[in-house]
Amino acid sequence: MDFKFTEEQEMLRNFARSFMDDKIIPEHVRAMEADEKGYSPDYWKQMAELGWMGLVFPEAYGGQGMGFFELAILFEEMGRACCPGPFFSTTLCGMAILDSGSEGQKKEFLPRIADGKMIMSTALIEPAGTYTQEGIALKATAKGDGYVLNGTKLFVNDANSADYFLVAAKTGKGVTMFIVDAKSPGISITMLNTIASDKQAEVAFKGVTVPKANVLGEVGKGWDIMQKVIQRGAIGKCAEIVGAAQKVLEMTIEYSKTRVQFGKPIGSFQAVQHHAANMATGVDGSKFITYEAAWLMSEGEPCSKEISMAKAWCSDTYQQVLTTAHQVHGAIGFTMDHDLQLYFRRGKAAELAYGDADYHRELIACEMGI
Amino acid sequence: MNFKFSKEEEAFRQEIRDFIKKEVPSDFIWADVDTQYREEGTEEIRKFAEEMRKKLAAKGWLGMSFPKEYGGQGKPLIYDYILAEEMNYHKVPGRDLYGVSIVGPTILRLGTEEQKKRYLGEIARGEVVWSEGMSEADAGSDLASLKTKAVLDGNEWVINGEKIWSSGAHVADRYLLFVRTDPAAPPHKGISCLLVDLNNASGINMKTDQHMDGLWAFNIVSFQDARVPKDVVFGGENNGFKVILETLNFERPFSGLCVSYAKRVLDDMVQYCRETKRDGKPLAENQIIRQKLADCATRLEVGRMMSYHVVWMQSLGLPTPKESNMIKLYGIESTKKVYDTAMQILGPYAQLNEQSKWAPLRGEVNYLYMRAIGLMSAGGSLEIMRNTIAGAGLRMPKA
Repeated sequence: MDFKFTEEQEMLRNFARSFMDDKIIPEHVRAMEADEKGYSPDYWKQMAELGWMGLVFPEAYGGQGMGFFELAILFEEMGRACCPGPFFSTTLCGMAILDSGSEGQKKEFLPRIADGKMIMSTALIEPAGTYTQEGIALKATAKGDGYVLNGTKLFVNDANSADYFLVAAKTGKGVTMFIVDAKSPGISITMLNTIASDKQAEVAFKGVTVPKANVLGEVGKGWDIMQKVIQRGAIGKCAEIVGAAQKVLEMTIEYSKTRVQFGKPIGSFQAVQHHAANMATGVDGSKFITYEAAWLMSEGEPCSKEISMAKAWCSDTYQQVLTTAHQVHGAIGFTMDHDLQLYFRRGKAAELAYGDADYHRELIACEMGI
Repeated sequence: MNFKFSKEEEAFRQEIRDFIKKEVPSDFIWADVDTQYREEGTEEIRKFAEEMRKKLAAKGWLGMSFPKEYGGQGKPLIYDYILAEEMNYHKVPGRDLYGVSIVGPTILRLGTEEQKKRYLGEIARGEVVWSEGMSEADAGSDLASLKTKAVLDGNEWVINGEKIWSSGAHVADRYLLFVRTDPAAPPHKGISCLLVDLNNASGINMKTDQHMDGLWAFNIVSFQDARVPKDVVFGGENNGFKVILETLNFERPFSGLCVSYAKRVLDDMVQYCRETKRDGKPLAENQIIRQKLADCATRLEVGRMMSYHVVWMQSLGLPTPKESNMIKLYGIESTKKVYDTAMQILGPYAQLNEQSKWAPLRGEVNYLYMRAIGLMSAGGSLEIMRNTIAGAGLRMPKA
């Protein structure tokens, strides 16, 4: 057991922290909520130049050759800053291609992702609203040298800026993953008004033709790929939550030191101190269970149970941390002017993404052999 | 970062499991390492606990993290923790938590060369059991207000007063006693710590009290002109409050160990839910029960990681003002949650103790559920943990 970050990891974190502190300030986050694109192409370019999009790709595909644990450090810092943009979706798709793609697909997509020239997003769940195989109704029918896709995907992140979608579709009894050009005829995108004002969309597929070459992995064996995307998404969301929860804790302690009532800072009252102690305990627990799962995944160790534990725990605990933070802040925290609402709204989105606590607890139960 | 144990650590864990398999009878049914304080069969259990202690010592497993010159092996603290985890999980008595994990490390930090040689050696050899004398009738959370006093008379301290909630003092050989030695000084600056030899002391009387879970562990320890040698003062005269803080700093992380008891209960409950049908269906197929068991497993895994983190910090010699209190707070609360959940799943059977033929899991859940109430105040109340996390850990303003 060793809880120390390597020097390289510390450097990455420090660099990410100062990038976020400098650029991804709350004014930017607010501006991007109203922005049509939802992110700054200028910052996107800078992040690509830092090598972040290709962080986990081998150097042969234009990447940095780092591990998933390092990527989780970036997610954590982005969560801390409420960093908007398609980084999460794009890296998730990139890793799926790295895992399951043909050599040709890797060569085609990974260097362009790493260069910041290609944005991708996952199109997984549907009106059924579940991260299950049964929830996939979008149909892919073989036709000529390709497939024709018909159906609807929901909650597709960054659909407005994506160049390609990673689409889970039903082929016969199984599921197949397709890499679909977002500009394909028959695709229509309708943006959704979401709690986090992020860029999620309904993406309708009407007779969309996809060449065979764009099947990711084997036909009918896409569920394994999708499960891994869900797992990486879940642990990535945990990392975002860890960063955000730590920031919310810091904001709350700071406020309790400066807000004076009854002639004393409210942070000197035991009622408030106990709130803070509970928050800190929840935040530390979130860190360790997330680091454990992310590290196991990074090392290629079995980690299905730990990932689900992390997501179940972080989903529930962050909600408690957020509501307690609001309780301590009182009315000021309830205003749009205050940054706490940015975290609260994104907290709910993170809880629901890639499986909520109940979903993951069912997976844990299966892993426990019950 | 590394979330795996080293090969050597894994091998050590396996060696402990093999040892337990060999040394512990298969019909061994006690609910936890404290069952030696039960009313019935006490003598027999206590004898077994003592035998186990000697065997652990013979293996060289007591005080493994003590330096070699004091009878230990100079191993990282995680070895002590692994042993404690396995002993707890398998419910085997014989590892004296106070001596090995609390008093020993404190003496190592604050003791004189002579004290280290004497006390660490006898702990490592499994010769002694330790107990603590902290709380008094009017000094609980506000420990600095303790009144039991010691006055120097020639080469001896003369002690008068009364300690309460001294767990296991009636069977202990050594006693970590906190007394007032300078009544004129501010409360926390007039306390000293004495290392009392209970086998060679006069003027000490004990009355054992029964816990609501049935154990006879609490003691009221009265001192009437009790005399102990002058040189048993530990950590410096009137410096006892620092000793208290050090002691608690070591004690609290090990209270996180309760997650390893609870893990055993959870594993037993999983088995029970697989095998037990209610209304024609195994409990394990009930969605609500699946959710609850998964939630318990998650809580305990978080606790396990928090425990390893604080042990890792302490093994590097880092101060743990936040982490020690946090794992105590979290460990107890998550353990309690697991027992509460287990009781709910057992339904009406949860009421039965081990004397009933109808009692599921030998009535252990019933016992541990009540036992956990004691943990909420043992070693400091959960409110004091929160105060300390906020004050020393998060540096919030003083009340």
